[in-house]
Amino acid sequence: MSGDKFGADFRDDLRAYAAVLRQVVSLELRRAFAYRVSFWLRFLGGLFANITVAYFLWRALFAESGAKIMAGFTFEGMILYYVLVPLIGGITRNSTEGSAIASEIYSGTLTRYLVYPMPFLLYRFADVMAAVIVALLQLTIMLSAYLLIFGIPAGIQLTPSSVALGLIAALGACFLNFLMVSTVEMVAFWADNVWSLNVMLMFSGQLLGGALLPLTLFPAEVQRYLQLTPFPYLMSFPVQAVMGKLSFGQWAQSCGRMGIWILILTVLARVVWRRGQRSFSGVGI
Amino acid sequence: MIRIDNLSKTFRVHKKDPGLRGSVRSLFRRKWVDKQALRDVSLKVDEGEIVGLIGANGAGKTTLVKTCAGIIHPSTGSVRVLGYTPHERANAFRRQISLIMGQKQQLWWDLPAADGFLLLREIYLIPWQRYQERLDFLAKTLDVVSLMTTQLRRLSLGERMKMELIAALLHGPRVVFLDEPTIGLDLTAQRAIRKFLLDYRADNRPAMLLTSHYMEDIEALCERIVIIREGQVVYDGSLRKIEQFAQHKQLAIQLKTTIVKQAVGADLAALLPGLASGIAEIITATEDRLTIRVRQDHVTDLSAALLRELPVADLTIEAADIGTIIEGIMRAGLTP
Repeated sequence: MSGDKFGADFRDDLRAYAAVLRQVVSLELRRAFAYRVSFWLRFLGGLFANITVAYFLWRALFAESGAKIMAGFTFEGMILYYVLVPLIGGITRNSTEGSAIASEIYSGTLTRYLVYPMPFLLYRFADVMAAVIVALLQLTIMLSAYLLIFGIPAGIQLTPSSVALGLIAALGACFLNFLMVSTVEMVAFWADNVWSLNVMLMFSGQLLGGALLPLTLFPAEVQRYLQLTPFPYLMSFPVQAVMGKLSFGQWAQSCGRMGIWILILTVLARVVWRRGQRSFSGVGI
Repeated sequence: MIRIDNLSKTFRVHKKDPGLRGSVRSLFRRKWVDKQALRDVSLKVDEGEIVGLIGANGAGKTTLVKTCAGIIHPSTGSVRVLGYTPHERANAFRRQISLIMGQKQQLWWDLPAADGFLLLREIYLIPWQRYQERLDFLAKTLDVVSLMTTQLRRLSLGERMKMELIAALLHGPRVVFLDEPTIGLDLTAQRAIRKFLLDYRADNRPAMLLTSHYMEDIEALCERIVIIREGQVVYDGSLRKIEQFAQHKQLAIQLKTTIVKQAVGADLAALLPGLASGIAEIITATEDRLTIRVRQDHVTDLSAALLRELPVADLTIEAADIGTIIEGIMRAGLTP
């Protein structure tokens, strides 16, 4: 194949990928809005439950201990943390649900993506991007409403620039989470059930990522080790960034570490994908 | 366009004893068995040719099709399609092929077909004008113009299959793999799809590899068939020539007078002295009418004996139909 021909093929591929990405995102958005009642009900229900539990739990804890500040948060700051967790989580962790890849493998519908001239994971990532757009919309509406009603709590530097840095972190985290979930789900090429692995990953993400408790509650030693795992970048890092709790230096350092994990997992996902296909039979012979 | 040389494929599957005990045991020790789906298959398909792949369930047809489409990696041997190695799945290769599986949905279930086609337009980089022309043409030919904006899951099986066909042919593939395209469809839909495939072939001259359990599909679409038995090609040649592998013919005789009613399955040697035993048996019998199955090489002996010994008014000899012959080959292999 001559260099020119290869270049043209490559350009074709990129053009197709971009178009497909656009098309799938728009398709998924249409689907999300088509089921809008269930969609918003589920979202608001989840948010409300989360905040109610956090409110009563932390009110009791603050009252009992008499402390004004716990794990670096005032009571109001703590509540804002729990408001941000599901909102930012909508961006960073939306690929956790659904086990889409595993079920494509088990049912054999993966076959169709293997025939299309397009990487399967790109198609899946387009799904995730659509969910991110919806989550951004929800974040904007809910956070503005919350801040308008309750104001920014004392000791929290929530500014346009902290929100921007937080969102950049959240987008990176979204990609990282996508890679982690995809890699685990691709174990379905060999194992008959990846559901338990998936649940383990989800709970680890919640506990070690800071969705259940702010990571600043853990002993300093544990926090240091946690920084070496990919989990804190999924939740704690973008939420802390939005709340203005990180200096630019800290933010950049965390971004760097997250980048390294993204790199490692990209390679891993690629290897698993390549090897997995070798043992894929497309169900039935 | 398709060239397969000495292709073999072995799947490793694990075996689990039934019940809870079996499940627990398989947690610790798995029993693996090798299942050889294809053995030493060689095959060539040219432009404009529709080759029918025939075989019993599990004979390896679908594995062969999936290997050619690049979904399954071969264990040994080589497969070349359009000059590409399918399982490398180069995009340039995938833009020129299509895989239609009657048992599997390719289009998006909860969207109207029109949305799915739009996505396919992007995937295959089809220019707008060509896309419009092709879609119009395909939808009109298959008579589904009014169904384009209906959610796929609200369509009937036949309508869905037509949409699948459109989806598979929008980009004008040069090689088309069809895995049981008419399964579960009613006769009208089957006929429409067969006619459509023939028209498509006449206009586009693609190479097609077709598997089907319906002899009507095969007889209507393929001049050449390949019979696969336990992963091996046992026949590769013209559909018409398969008749020479018929092992039996059927004789029907009408008698002038009645005789004692014969038992079904009885050997005719008992009734006709001088005829060797084990070459002809009775299939149906009344007092004045018999149908007899006879070994191909003894048709003349039997006819002569019948005319000599019985008051025959009329005698007809029928060749076994192609379906029966193929069934015989699928069951027992080729023994000409």
